[in-house]
Amino acid sequence: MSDLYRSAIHARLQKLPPMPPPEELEDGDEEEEEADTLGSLPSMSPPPLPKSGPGSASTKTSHLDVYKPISASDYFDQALEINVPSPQLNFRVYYTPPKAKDGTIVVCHHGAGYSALSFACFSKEVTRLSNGECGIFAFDARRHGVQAQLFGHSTFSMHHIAFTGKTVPTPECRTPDVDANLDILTLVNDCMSLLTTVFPDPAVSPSLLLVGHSLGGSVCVRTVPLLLERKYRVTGVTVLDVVEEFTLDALPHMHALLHTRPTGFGSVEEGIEWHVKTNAIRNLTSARISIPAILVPSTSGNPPWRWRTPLEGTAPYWINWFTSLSSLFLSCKTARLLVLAGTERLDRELMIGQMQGKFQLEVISGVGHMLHEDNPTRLAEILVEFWRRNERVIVGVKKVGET
Amino acid sequence: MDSDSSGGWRFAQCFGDKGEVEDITEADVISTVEFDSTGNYLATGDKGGRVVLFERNEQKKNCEYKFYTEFQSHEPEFDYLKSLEIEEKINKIKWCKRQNSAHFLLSTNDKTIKLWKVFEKSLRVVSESNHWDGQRNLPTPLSPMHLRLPKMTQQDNIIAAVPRKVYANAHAYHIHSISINSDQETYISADDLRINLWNLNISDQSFNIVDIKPVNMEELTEVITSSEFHPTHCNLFMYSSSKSNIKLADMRDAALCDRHAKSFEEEEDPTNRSFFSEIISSISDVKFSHDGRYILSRDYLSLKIWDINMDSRPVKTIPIHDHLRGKLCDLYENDCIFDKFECTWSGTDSHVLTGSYHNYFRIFDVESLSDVVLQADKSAFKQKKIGGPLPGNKVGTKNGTRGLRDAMQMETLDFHKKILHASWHPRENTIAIAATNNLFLYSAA
Repeated sequence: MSDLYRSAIHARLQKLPPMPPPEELEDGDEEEEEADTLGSLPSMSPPPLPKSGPGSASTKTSHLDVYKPISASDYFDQALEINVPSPQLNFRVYYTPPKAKDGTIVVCHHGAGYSALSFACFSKEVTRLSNGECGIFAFDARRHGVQAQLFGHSTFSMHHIAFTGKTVPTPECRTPDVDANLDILTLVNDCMSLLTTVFPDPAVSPSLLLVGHSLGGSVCVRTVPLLLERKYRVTGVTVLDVVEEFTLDALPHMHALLHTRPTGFGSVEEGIEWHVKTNAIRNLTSARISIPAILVPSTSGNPPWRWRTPLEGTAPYWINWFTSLSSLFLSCKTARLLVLAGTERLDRELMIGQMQGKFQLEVISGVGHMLHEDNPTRLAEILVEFWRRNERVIVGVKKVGET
Repeated sequence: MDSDSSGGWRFAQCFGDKGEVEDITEADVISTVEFDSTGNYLATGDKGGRVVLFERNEQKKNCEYKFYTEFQSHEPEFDYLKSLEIEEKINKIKWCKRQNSAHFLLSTNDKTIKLWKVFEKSLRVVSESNHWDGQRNLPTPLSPMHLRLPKMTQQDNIIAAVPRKVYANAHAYHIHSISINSDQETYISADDLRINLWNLNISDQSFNIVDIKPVNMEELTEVITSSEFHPTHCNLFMYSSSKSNIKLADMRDAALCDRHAKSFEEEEDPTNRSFFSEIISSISDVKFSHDGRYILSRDYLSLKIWDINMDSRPVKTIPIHDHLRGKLCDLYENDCIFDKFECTWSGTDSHVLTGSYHNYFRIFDVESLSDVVLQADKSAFKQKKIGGPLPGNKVGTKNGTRGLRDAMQMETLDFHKKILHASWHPRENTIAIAATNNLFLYSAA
């Protein structure tokens, strides 16, 4: 058959829901059964919740074992709590230092509702592929992950937090979010302050490669000019899976989408299970590391675990998060990389920019919105190659994006 | 009716490398075979863009073809706008009816159709000139009165092929079918989503007569798989789709023949539905019978014969290799489920022919549905060489009646050896089978 027909069939196959794991092995008929059950087409809404509630948790422990949380200690070198004086906040940072003093640090900003641990698997791959020359610096933004506010400290202090077996956030992080402002400029300010606190002297600090997923991309493209102003060396900026026009168009539908999410879960394992079953995250290992950071034990007790950052409350900030993303991205005076998942769709501005060769575009297939979790290896390959190409500084030759 | 298990079919000739499958040059793989309307000429096209013509050897009583000429029809191209390579593989060849001593044929690759004129040209050489009298040099003439006209003599006859028309840039998708109208003035070319009508004399324009492209390509579910003009009614043509229907369209209805005059589709048994039932019901080839009363269609597992006057169900359904029904998952994995098998009628419309895997092909008698299974591979001509018994005559052994048919069902079918293309001589029982890079000729005359 023609390639057109073949690709149309393959596309339909991709859209089908995943096969449920076979319960028992039946002799010989497995293949036919698979062939028969692939007949249904997916519906628009995600499949119904697995039943969550106190009673059912105990009976389901055996099948939930596969969703047990994993510690991030194998994926990052250090977990730090950094107190930044100017927006009186303690930031949880996961850090893998580069081998050499003048290596590059990949600064990762997660997307709305997620946490720095979503970059755990990616971090391990980057370390491996760059032979340790690239370090990783992933942090939880305010009101996300294990970030908490510290009262009263005025000096900069860095506390090492030993990786315990538990990844459940400790109770002291549950202080109420006094400063709940998630405006884009606030987030950019946070990022800037954190980086300048950790690397105070631009002259001796390692070069930085900013990677932002979704909302994080928006923060990164605004942080780059501020860093460059302060004479930091910025190797490049990478935006993951967000295109301004389509994201803005989809915002009115976000409320409906958020309503289909469960308000909470019976256990962390169930939360991980939900993300994997609904294909929000297609990589089980990565989900087991990152999801515990976005769930908190709820004060009311029912459901026992709730979202750390309920996204409905962030609605007022959405438009400002993504407006001007494309133009700001294209005007960053550094190397630019855009990585998209699956079908490549660029808005007008980006398409013109791409035709003019203003940025590198990579499309990863077979992944969802959380592409850094779904296929960390491929993303790490792309990023390390991007880094290698843009890092070498030859005196006299202008780097990409330099005026 | 021959009691011979091979139905009276004997291997006649094989053209090609005859080497092992592993060593085949990709460019030599034959991609189309077509007899002309007299049967005296046979054309093959290959993946390397070449067309090879064979001519019937009239001197011999039995069926024998000899090499006639070869030319490079299409070259590989590069589409710079889409950054895509356009393959030079010849998808179809169709002959025009002979009008003078030259042959005209249409050959097409994915994007461009060419009208080739193949003719004998006698080469003439200068035999006498002002410096040469045929045997020795002459001194340069000194005065005008000594000047003579050079003389030419015939030296050789060569067969030349010249592209007379190039019909380009009319198809956004890959062309898979061409069909010349019975009026010998127009022809249609079909790609996955559109069918265009051309006049043979006009190469810079064509009419679009069928367009099934959806507004949003993401909603694409159906493609056109084959198309043919009716053999006698110049206003009728049909096209088949991947959704197992055949549409007969009348060009007198409207300029855009999207609304079919008749649609031939069989109701599917809902109990048999599976993910693969859509793919295997996709029709890979359709042919009108020579008398124009029947339509032959080939889907992955069967042949169907339709009466043009009855569109509710086919008059005959012939399973070809039903034993593959249980292997659909594997065939999907190795992409073989998408193989496009052709089908063809015999000259008198009494038999139909189609291919299968492991170089097997089957010929069915339309009336009785009795069939012959033959295999186009080395075993065919080894038998002939030794002068031993005809293949198929050894009852009870591997090549007996039961033998080949059962052999077709054995587990270790080689899915790389498939008979996709074949052609039947219009006036006698001679068939040309393309087996990867070899051309086999069988005759039952």
